[in-house]
Amino acid sequence: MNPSTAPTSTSPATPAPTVAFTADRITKIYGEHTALTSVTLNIPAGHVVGLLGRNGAGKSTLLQIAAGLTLPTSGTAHTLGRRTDLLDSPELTRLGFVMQEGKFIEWMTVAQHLAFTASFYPRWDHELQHRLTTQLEVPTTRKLADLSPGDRQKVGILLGVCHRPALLLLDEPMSALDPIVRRRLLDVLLERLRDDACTIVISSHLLNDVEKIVDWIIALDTGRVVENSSLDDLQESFAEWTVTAPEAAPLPAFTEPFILTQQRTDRLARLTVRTSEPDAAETFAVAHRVGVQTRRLSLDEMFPLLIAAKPAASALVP
Amino acid sequence: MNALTHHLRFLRPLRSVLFTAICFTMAESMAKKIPRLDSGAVELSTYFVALPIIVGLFIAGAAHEPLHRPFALLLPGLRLRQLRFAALSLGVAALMATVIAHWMVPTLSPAAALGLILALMALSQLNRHRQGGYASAPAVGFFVWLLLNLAFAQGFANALNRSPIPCLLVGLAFAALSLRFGYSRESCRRRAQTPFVSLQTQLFSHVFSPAVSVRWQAETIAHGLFTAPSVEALGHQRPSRPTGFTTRDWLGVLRRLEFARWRFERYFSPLGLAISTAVICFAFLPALGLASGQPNYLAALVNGADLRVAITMQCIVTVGLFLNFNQPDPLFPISRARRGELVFMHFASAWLFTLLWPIALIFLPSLVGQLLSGHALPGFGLYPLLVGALALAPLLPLAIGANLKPARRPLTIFGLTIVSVLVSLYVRDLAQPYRPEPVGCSIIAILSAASLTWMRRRILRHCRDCDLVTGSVGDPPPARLDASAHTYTVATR
Repeated sequence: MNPSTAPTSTSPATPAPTVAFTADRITKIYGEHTALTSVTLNIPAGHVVGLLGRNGAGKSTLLQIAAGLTLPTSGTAHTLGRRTDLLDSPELTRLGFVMQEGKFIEWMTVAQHLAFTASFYPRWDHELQHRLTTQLEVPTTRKLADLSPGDRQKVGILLGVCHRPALLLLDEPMSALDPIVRRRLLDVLLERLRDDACTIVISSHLLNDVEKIVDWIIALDTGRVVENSSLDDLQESFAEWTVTAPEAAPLPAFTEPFILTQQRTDRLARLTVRTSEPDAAETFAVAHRVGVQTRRLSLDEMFPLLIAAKPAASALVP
Repeated sequence: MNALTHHLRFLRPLRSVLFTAICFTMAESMAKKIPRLDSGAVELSTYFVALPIIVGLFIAGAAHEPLHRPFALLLPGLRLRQLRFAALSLGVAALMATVIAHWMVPTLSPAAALGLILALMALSQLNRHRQGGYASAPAVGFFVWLLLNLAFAQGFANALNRSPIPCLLVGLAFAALSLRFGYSRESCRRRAQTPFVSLQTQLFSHVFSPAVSVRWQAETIAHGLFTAPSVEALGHQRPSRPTGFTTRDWLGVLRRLEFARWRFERYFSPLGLAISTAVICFAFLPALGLASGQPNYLAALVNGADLRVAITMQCIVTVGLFLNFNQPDPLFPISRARRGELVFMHFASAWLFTLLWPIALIFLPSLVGQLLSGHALPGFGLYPLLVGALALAPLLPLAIGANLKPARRPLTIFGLTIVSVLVSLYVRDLAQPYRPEPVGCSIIAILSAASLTWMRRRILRHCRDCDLVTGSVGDPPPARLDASAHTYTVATR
C-alpha cells in the first residue's frame, strides 16, 4: 500500500478531496464518561477500514462523529472534506451509515420506509434495492416494529447502501445476522467496493468476517487509538512461533522484546511475536539453537495482542 | 411516490381531522362554561384561538416526527423539506380556518383573523418535544388561557378590527420566526436525539399496533434513562431492602416498574394530582369565580356538571390504565398464580381510581365553592357523578375481564365506548331526581363484588395459560407438520 494514501494518524492538514474522514485531536465526553480522548487520524478514500475495539472503546462514538450525528466535545472532524457539524446535502448524499441498533419510523412498513428514504437521494438505485431485498431476504410488507433484530439490521443495511454512498460507515452491521446472510452482506460490500470504489469503515466484533474485506485496521481502546496499520503489515509482523528444543537440551529463556506472550514446557514453547524483521525467525533460531516454525495469526488472534499493546507509537503522533 | 405523499402519510389527514373535531368540541364546551363569556366571545375564543392551536399541534406533529429519529441528520434536505411542508400546511390550514371562522363569526376582519390564526397555528412549531412529550404544551395552555381572557374582554375583537393589516403582518412575522427557530440546524440536531411520535400516530397505535406502541415506549424510557441526571430521579431505583415473598411486595415492584414505564403516571403521580387539584380548587377556580363577579361560580359549575362528560372521562381513564398495563416481567421469579393475583390487584386498584378520581376532583371545588359563596348544594353536587360511578362500577370489570387478549384490544375500546354512551344516555334523565338510596347502593355493591370476582377468575385463568412473553393466550397453534413430508422410506434388501 502506498504510504501517502494510507490511513495515518499524523496531524491532518486541510482536508483533501481524497480523504474520506479526518479527525484532529477529537475528544468526546458524555457526562462523566470520556468516550474518545484526543483521537487524530485520517482515512483516505478507497480503503476498507476495520475499526476494532472492546465494548465501550469508542468505536460507535467515532463513527457517529464521522456521520455528524454526534459532535466532538473538542477537536475538529471533517467528513468528505467538510466539517461534520456542517454536513449538508452534497456530502450527505454521498454518505451511508448503518447503525448498530436501527431506530426507524416504526409504524411504517419496510417498503414505505425505503420509499421515504429513497425520496431524499437523487442517485437511489432501485434496482440495487430490489436485488438486495431478495438477496438478504428482507420482508418488505411487514411493519418495522414487528421485525426481528436481524431483519431490522438488514433494513438498516438497505437504507445505508442503496444510494451508492462514497463513504459507508457500518457500526456492528452483522451482529444480529445469521452466517448465511453475513456472507451475502460481505459479498454486497465487496461489490460496492468494486463498482463504486467507495470507502468503507466497518466496526464489528466478528473479526473473521471483517478480515475478509478490510485492508486497514484501526484499533481503539478506552477512547484512544492503539493501532493504525494496514492489515498486510499486521499479518506480516504478528506471528506465532512454535519453538522446539534440540535433542536432550532444555529450552533457554527468551527475553527478546518482540515476544509478546509465551507458553512453554521444557522442550516446546509457543511464542506470539511482533516484529517487522522479515528474517527474525531464522535469526532467532540460529541465536538460540532451536527449531522454529512460524504461522501467521488471524485478526481474531491478533486482536487481544493489539489491545494489550498500549498505544501504538505511530497512532498517537499529535 | 412524491414527497407530498410521504408528508400526507405523516399528517394522517383523516385522524387529524377526527381528533381536531373532538378536541374542538371539548374546547367549545369548556369555553361555554366560562362565566360572563357570551356566545360571541365563545365563538371568538374557539374559532380564532382554540381551533388554530389544535390544528397547529397536528401540523407540527407531522412535520416534526421524522426529524426526531437519529437518521434525520443523515437524510439530505430533510430539514428544509419539513420546513417547506410545515409552511405550506400552515398556509393552507390558516386560509381554510380563516374562511370557516369568518363564515361562523363574520364580525372579525378577515385580514386580522388570518394574522391571529396564523400566529397561533405556528406556535406549536416551536415545540421541542423534549423527553418525548409536548414540552411546550404548558406554554400553549397559558396562551390559550390568556387569549380566552382577552377574547371575552369586549375590546379584543374591536382592537383587531381597528388594525387588521398590522395584525396580519405580526401574524406572518411570528409564523416566519416560529418556522425559522423550529427548523434551525441546531434545533433539528437536538430533535434527532429525542424520540417523538405525533399525537395522531400515537393514539391509534395503542389500539391497533401494540408493537409500535411498546417499541416507542421502550425507546422513550431508554432516552429518559440516558438523559436523566441520576437513576434515582426517575424512580427506577429498587429499594435497598430485599423484595419479600408476599404478593404485596411484588405488587410494589410492579408499581415501580409501571411508574417508570408509564410517563403519564409519573407526571400525574398521586402527589402531582394532589398538587394540581389543590391549585385548581383553591386558587384558579375561586379566582376565576371572583374575577367574573360570581362568588357562587363553583357551586354553579358543579351543579351543572355534565354527566356524559364525566362518564366518558371515567371510561377514557379506564382505557388508558388498561392499555398501558403490561404484564409483569416474565423473568420475575414468581409463579403464574401470583402473577395473576398481581394483575388482578393492578386492575382492581385501577378500577377504584377510575371511579373515585373524578368524584374527588368535583368534591374539592364544590367544598371551596360552598365555603366561599355560602350557597349549599345538596350532596355537594356529587349526585350526578355518583350515578355515573355507581352505574359503571359493575360494568368496567366485566369489560376488562372479557378482553384480556391483546388481539381483543380494539374490541375492548369499542365495548367501553358503547358502555359509556349507553350509561350516559341511560342516566341522563335520572341524574337530577336520583339520590343514592341504601338499597340501590347495596345492589350496586353486590353486583360490583360479583363482577370483580368474575374478573379475578378470568385474569387468573389467563395468567395460567398465557404466553408470558407476548401476554397473549389462545394464539393459533403452529401449523401441523405434514406427516407424509417427514416419512422416511427405509430401503430393504
